[in-house]
Amino acid sequence: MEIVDGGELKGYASLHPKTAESLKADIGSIVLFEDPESGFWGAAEIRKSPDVPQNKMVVDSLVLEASLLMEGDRVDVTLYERPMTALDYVEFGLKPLTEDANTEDLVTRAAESVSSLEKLIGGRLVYPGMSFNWPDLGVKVEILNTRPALTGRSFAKLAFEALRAKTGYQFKTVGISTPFNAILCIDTSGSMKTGDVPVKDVAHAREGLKDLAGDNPDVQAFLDRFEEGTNVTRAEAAAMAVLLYLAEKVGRGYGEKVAVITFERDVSEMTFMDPDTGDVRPYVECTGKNKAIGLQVISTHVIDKVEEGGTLTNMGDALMKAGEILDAFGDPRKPTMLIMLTDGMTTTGPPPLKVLKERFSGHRKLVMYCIGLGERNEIDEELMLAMAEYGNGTYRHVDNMRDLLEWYGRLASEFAVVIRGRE
Amino acid sequence: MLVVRSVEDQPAHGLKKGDLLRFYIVDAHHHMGREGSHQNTPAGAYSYYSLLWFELRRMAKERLEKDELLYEPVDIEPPHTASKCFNIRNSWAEMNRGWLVDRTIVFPFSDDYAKSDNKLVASFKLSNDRIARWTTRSPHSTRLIGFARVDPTDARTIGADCAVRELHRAVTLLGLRGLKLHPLAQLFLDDIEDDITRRVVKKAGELHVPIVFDTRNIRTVRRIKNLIDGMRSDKSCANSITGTRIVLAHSAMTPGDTFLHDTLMDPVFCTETSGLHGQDLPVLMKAAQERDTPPGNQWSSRILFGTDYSYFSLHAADTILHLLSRDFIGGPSDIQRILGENALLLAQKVFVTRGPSRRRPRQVAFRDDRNQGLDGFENLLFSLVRDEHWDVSSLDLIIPSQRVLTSSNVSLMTKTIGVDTDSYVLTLRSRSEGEEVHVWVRRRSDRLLTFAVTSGYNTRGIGGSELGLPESESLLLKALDEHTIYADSSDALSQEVLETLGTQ
Repeated sequence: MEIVDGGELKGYASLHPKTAESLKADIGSIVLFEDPESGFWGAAEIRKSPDVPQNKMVVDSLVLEASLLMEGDRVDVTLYERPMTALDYVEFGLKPLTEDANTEDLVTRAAESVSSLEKLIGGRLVYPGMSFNWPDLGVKVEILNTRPALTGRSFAKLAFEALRAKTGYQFKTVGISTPFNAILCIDTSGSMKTGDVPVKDVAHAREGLKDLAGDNPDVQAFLDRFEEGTNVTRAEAAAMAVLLYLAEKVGRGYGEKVAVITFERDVSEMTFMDPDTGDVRPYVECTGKNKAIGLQVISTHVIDKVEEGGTLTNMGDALMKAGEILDAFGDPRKPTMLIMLTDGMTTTGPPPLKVLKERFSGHRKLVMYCIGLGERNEIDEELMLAMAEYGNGTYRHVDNMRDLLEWYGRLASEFAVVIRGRE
Repeated sequence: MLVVRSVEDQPAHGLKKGDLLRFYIVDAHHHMGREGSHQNTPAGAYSYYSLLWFELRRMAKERLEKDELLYEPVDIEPPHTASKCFNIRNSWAEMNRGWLVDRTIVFPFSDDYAKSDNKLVASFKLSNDRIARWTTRSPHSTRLIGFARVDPTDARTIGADCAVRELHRAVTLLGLRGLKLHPLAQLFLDDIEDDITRRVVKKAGELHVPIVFDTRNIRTVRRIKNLIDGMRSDKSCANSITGTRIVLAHSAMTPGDTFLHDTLMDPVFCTETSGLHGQDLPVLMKAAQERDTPPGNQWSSRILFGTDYSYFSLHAADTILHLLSRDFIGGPSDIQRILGENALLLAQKVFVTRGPSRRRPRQVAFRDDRNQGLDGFENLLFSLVRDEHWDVSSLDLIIPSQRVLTSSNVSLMTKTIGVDTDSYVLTLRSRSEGEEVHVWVRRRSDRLLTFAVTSGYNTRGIGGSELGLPESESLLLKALDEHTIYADSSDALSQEVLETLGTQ
């Protein structure tokens, strides 16, 4: 059957009644359509229309966009009869379509207007990459993530009532990634020397970092430790993640200022001397002519700290130090990302959540992400979740190199303020 | 097109405060397809450009308050022919937006589907097929220029000439116009100087298609330069080098590096701006200008504007605003070169595949006293597209030979610098037979328009750089001028066009 782009059809696909009959489909049935050559596929709820030729299928533009299919593609069409997945959580991405919609408080306005979204897309078919236009707000709404994840050819229908009863939903802006400053806090306590992180699928990251490291033998030797199929220590994994983050920021130009804090019982920050002015700063500049030097300095610092290791875990003082560095950035209007990575629980120093609330309450453009590395039962996940929630970010547990690097790589390029919706 | 207003008198450029300039913008680095969390389609690209415009306006407002800008961005306008094509159908009209950027060079991501399950199939075959479908069919063909992507390491895993054959197929059968190579993503950083890469670069040179080479640091640039120098001294590659053009993507993320700018003095190389922002931009421009020998404006001919969407987004607004700022070291002609003209000169070529074409060349001239001839002609042409007789495979503007903006051609300033939107070549492909014809539309003066139809076969002979050459240099177009038929009314013009296209 040949695909026709139908424009805005509210997510539906139209078939000739005879075609629908041959598929044993009726209004409201869901059909799967797939290009057998490319394997690209999509799905839509159907409507019947005698105006549609029997050899064609008229599909909503945004459904086609999600599936990478386009007008003129030839597809096999089948009836989908498996049960829908019930969703606990949906992450909505908001992309402004009008200049009026492109405001800093967009996510807040979206959360306040959720009833209008519910009327618009409640009951609609959902799969990852799917999107809808939300005219009241002048935005396109994209389905970014769901829980449970919709993998393979599984679909769900959006039921806001059910979502509110479960984990809920959240909004964030997408489409324009803002340059932002970052502070990375890395746990270097003794337990981080546990060698239980499997190395898998790191070839691209390792080769890219090797290339960037140039002739620096320390960095090259460090990267050689990451051999596929072996295990590395949590500290080594964390150090490589930091290098990757920096490489993205410096090498890929997601730029601005990056600071690195390591903590165990004591807290220390990386310092960098500007070769032009001689000024010493607690962060590296990721743009301009000295950025490559910054990458070299910060790499060496992180690797040295990993080798040292420490005893206790002092997350609270690490956050105090992060507050000082935030001030040193000197631009309170610039968005800042704070990433806290640990494998354990805070064992000394002030309570981290209290520090966070006291020290960062005035920073509206701060987003905090927490990462738990290693064994789950060794990590204070409740604290991590609470800090991430307070900081408008997320908490994620990882136990292998691939996921850790993927997450750091993504964070390096993406800054989003999140507003959650839940009753 | 980006419309800007001069915020003050600029006698050196013949501009007065309040004068409007239109910049035709080409994005020389843009991905489509799907790679992990990155997904982009033509509609996604146009949405992004809309967003970019909103952000540009917001950022410009802040910079105007600080008196940092020499030009205020005031509006965006679509080029009329492309916009008209998008309005042929309602579902297409919804995508008639985001005209901050007029043309986009598009290539695949390292797509999730780049590697086939069939181990004998070249990497990126499916990706290239999809890019071709997006970029050589209406309406996107009026906006997008498709580049292929290959993996040189296929030579080791599939077959010695696998990547070379895929490139050949993508250019000659699919009509793609360039190549993207990514040494890090395809893991051939250490093989850039190896024969596997050399064969691919040689083939691109033979096909006269440019290569966008991903570079993240200066070490990669050194390797690419060594590769080209090695090919120069190899007699078997000598012919291909004359057709080789390489864009060093992201300015190797080291915009001030001396070796980068030494390399850019080699006519094979140019660079692009994606990923750069903040202090990177003045550093790049200043280093390029300082390296210019003899001093002149050649430096701005080596820099292309690119976004690298969807890996980067807001950086592009920063780049445009730097070009419009007081800190920018060039003038309006430099801005237009960087924003669009350099990319057009590199990537524009008459769309020709190996499809059948037997039509005799023919040209009709029309005295356009009421200035409605072009509009009527386009309405007729696009009605044939709407009725599905023909599809538009490409639309390329002819670049005027006199394109440096000086006070002596001040009249150009109310128009677009660098391109002439009333003169273009449109490739039509017959839906029934797959035949390709080229329709050359040229405004010769305020009153005279010519419309020529040539077949792909005729046009293939004049090579790929026709669109960037002065019109007088085209033998084919010159011959057409000598055998022109004159239409004395718009009805007669329509009749001639329909007859020529055989749809009467």
